[in-house]
Amino acid sequence: MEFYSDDSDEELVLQVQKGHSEAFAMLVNRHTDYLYRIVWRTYPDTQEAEDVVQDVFLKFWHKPSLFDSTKGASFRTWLTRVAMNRAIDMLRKKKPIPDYDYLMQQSMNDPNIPLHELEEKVAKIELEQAISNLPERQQQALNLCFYEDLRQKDAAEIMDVSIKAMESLLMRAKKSLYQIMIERKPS
Amino acid sequence: MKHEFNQNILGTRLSPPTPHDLAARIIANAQQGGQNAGIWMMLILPRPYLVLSALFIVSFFAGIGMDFGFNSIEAMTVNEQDILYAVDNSYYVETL
Repeated sequence: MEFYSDDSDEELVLQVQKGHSEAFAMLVNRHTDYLYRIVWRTYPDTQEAEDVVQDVFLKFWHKPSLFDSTKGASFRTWLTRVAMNRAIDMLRKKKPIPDYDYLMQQSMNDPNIPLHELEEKVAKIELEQAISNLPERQQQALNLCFYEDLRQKDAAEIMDVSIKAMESLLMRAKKSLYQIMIERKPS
Repeated sequence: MKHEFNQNILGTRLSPPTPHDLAARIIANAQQGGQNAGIWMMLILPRPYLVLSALFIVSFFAGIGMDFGFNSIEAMTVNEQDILYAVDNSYYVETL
């Protein structure tokens, strides 16, 4: 059986449930980058984030019935929810030592990197540190709605809150982040 | 409804580079094991109470002297008569 890149996630999931590994491979190729980014932003540790992504996909492969399309959520929403919950569980058990330094070092070691790119990277790391100071729920809301550009409805579903609550979380996140950035700005 | 942020203030976030072979490794792991691989192991492994209960039952019977046949002297020693029987199909009867 052949699968095409324009097959929807839900069609591919049906094929995975029938045991087609090619359909599974297509889903993995489609969502790995996105899922890794989501997990890493919740738990910024390269190795652990990798393990979570791998584990979530393999669990789904061994038991595809875990995703129930009749519940209304899309496969991507479901996948995000499972992975994020895993990352949050880890976060509650052990605070990661963020890989920001490692990422910074990578840029510093590159002799060809232009100065403005380096400055940009420093600014991004500062932003990252500011976001990590926000309460957990606000971080998630910001990450999903702003950085991953999900619809508020989908983000609310992932976080298991109402759309109103999501709006309020986003508003508070923006306010707090703005405050943190203002305080950090050298006068 | 779409959210509205001022992109200029927040900028884009740092994006961790996805390990280039992560997807390939996940697919290889899945194909290596097959879809139902390890299903029996998965029935046992997450159930420590099942394993401990089985061990308890075995040790209880061992404690009251029940012979499970493992490591028993009778099973490990070869009787002289059995050797003789194996040689000429008859037991040696000692006559005085």
